[in-house]
Amino acid sequence: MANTKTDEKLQKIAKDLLESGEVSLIIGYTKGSNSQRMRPLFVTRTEDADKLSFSPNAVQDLAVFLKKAEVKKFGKIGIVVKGCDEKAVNALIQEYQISRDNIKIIGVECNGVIRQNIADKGETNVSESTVYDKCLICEEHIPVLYDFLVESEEPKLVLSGKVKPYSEIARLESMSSEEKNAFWANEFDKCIKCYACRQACPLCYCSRCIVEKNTPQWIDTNSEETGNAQWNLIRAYHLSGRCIGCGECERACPVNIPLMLINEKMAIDVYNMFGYKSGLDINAKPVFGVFSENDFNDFIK
Amino acid sequence: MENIYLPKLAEIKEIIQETADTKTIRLTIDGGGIDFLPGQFGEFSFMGEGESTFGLSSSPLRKEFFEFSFRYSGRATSGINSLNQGDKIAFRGPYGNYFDTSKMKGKNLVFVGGGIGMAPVKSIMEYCLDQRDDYGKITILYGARSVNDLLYKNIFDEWKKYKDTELIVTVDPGGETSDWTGKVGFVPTILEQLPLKGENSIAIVCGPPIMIKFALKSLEEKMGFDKADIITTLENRMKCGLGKCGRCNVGSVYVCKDGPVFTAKELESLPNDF
Amino acid sequence: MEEKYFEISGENLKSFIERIIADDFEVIAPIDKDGDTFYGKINRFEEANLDILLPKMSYKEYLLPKTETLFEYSFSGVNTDIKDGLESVAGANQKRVIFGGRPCDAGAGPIMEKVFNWDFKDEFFNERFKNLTIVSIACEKPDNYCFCTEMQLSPESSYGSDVLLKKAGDKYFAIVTGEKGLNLIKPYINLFKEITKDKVPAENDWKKLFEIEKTKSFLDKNFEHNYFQQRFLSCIGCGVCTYTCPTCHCFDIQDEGNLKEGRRIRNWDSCQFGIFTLHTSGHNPRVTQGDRYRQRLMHKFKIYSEKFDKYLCVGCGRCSRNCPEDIDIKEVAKDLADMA
Repeated sequence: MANTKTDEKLQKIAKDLLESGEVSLIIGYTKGSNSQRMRPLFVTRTEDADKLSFSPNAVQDLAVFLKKAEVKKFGKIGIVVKGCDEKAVNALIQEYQISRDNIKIIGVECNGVIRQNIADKGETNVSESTVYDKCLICEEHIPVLYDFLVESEEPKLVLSGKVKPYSEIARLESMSSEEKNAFWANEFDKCIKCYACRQACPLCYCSRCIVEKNTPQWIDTNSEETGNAQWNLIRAYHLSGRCIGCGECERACPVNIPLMLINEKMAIDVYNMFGYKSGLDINAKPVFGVFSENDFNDFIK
Repeated sequence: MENIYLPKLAEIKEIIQETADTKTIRLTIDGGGIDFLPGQFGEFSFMGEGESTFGLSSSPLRKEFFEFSFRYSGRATSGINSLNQGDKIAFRGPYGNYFDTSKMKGKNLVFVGGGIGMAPVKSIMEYCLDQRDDYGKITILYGARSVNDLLYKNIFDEWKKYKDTELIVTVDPGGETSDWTGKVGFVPTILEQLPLKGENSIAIVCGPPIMIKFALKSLEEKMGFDKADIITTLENRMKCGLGKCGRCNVGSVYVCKDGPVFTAKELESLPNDF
Repeated sequence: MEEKYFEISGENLKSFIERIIADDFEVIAPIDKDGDTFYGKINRFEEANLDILLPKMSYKEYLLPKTETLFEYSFSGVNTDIKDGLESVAGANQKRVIFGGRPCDAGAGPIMEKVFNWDFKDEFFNERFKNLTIVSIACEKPDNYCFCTEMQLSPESSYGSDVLLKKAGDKYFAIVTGEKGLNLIKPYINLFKEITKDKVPAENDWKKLFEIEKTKSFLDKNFEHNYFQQRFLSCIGCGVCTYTCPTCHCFDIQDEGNLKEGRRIRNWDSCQFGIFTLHTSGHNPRVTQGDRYRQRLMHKFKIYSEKFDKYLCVGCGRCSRNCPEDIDIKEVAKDLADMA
């Protein structure tokens, strides 16, 4: 497939950055294993920059690679990010995982990415019924922070309001505790503990995850009722106030657990309680990293 | 139909506190030891805390018990550490291959052990000492990080009693105490200084991967040992010990079944994956 | 037993499945769930999605459950009581049928059987395998991720199936490969019409994209090749490839319980996890994700075949389809073959 204008702009930026020595690695997208898939590309040589591309199939959050030791070795890195993914970069900077000085943010204006499972079945249209829920509530079609911006050639996403993003949250909120329990027991029963949720998450960067610690054994090792529930709930709590909503955990999950219902609910609750949204400001302190006298404290009874 | 994952219960006959964080535990099943060969290992556990893999460290010819030495550092070993004399340990084994003693008969032997890696060395060494007349000169080189990290101190004298048997004990530089009379230096360095030749000799080397790497180099390059005459053990992470769980693959070898004992020559044909 | 050949109409196939369900067989088939297709129990023939190429997960869990109790223990005073986990597996459902899987999935059982029996016999696996009857349907249109033909099978291979169905218009040809398959259909034999082998259409000439032997010969010589480190920079180290794989069988053994009682279990484990080979001392032979993905390739295309004469891969392509970062194992295996 021919280069789009977006592709050309990306390639030019990457080439310039590599040539000038400002970065030694560019993490971007390239065409994937079928015409409806994109995949990560690691460019260290200017001649490979021509393979960079972007499309509504660029589903991956490439910020996930910033936590990887093999990638960190490159030092100064340029990264292609959508608005949602860019928030992960910000959160990583806020949490001192990466330094702003070591990263060149190549922001891409994004008007929604097509859900991968339907793209695999041939869906090519970007519309409110084909994109992820995160795209329907997106307020960062243009990343909040960037060193370079590549504007989109795609038409803006038209929202009729007919498709209700994360509508399951409202349904779950209306349930009794027993019903909620039954809902999640059914979902967690599917979990196989492949840890794709953790590995695909740009903010799950612990060098040794709590699930891998056994003195004491915090989380049952089984992949049954207890182990699965403990794992998914503890992970959810570790992401509360931090999750930037890229939805990679849910996309990576091979057994389709609706993990974003938890993460999005947590994000809504944190916003309602603390007025904080994760990943919007690199100078803000992480919400659970600071104490304020005005903090919500109704839970103390 | 046999459940290969089912352990036997072994009774703790004696516990020897070797260092601040290592112990040797002597076990009996039905009042005695078990049949095994030097170099083999087992899976030990205090049920509820999980299994750990350890080489058997006693001579199989000493039939009244079998033993293993361990450092307590994680959940499973803390479980074992909590046990007392008379308590039961769950045991599976013996597993794996063993030192081929038929090739060692009549030859000079040099045993090289580092830290807790002395445990499997002790088994084959005591097995040879138990049949002292079958072998030539025996040299034992044992090193640890510090004096306090040396295991088996209470039986050093016993080893030395055998005819034509020399014991050299060394600690890493800085690990010596004011009254230390042994050597100071890393195991490969001390090894090179010994008046040993590869001719008609077999070397048995166990310890941390880095020590093995350099000791093998010393033996081959400086002391003229043939690769086939250097025998070592791989300490890959294992779970089942039965050639199933896939954890200990190196090349097309399952260390738990095809090993843990390999000659340096055999290691040479394996990829650097251990 | 020699293979037997039958014809069965679409209508009769439906009756056959409904009658075995009525006769208390547990029938596991591809069913639509959560916007995708997974294997699951069906109560009616129509619940099975026989048009889907492959369910997202394999049916490995019926041979090697994601968590399996090896034994239970309890302490009372000085006594330790152990309840053998095999007891419950020995009573495993002998009337369980996997229906509508594909030849690749069927091939996984006999391949894995080798490692579970090469010396010590793993009766947990054996009991489950013995009690499972596999009725597969040959593929008409493999997709671009499929490479069963390269993996010494084919879209029409009967290897590992007790009954292989081949669709022909509105009827099916049924190849019954052995006693197990015959025993399953015997009570309902009036739904089938026995035919001679020559009436069954010959296999299509499926083309190979590369020779797997070449992939192996590259792996034989290039453990240290930089390809692995570069190509798998994009691997995030999750267990999706290994857990959705029908032949990946690595497991962990863990205890769960307290000072009174508990159990020893085995859980699926993955060579893609950093702690898989981490020593207590802190030493880890496989430091990078390149090291780990290489191990998966080695185990599939070199180690297993050297040990057990079979490649540990049936070419189903699930690891590629399900990889969050779009690592395509067929493409990788071909890359390696091309470099050999």
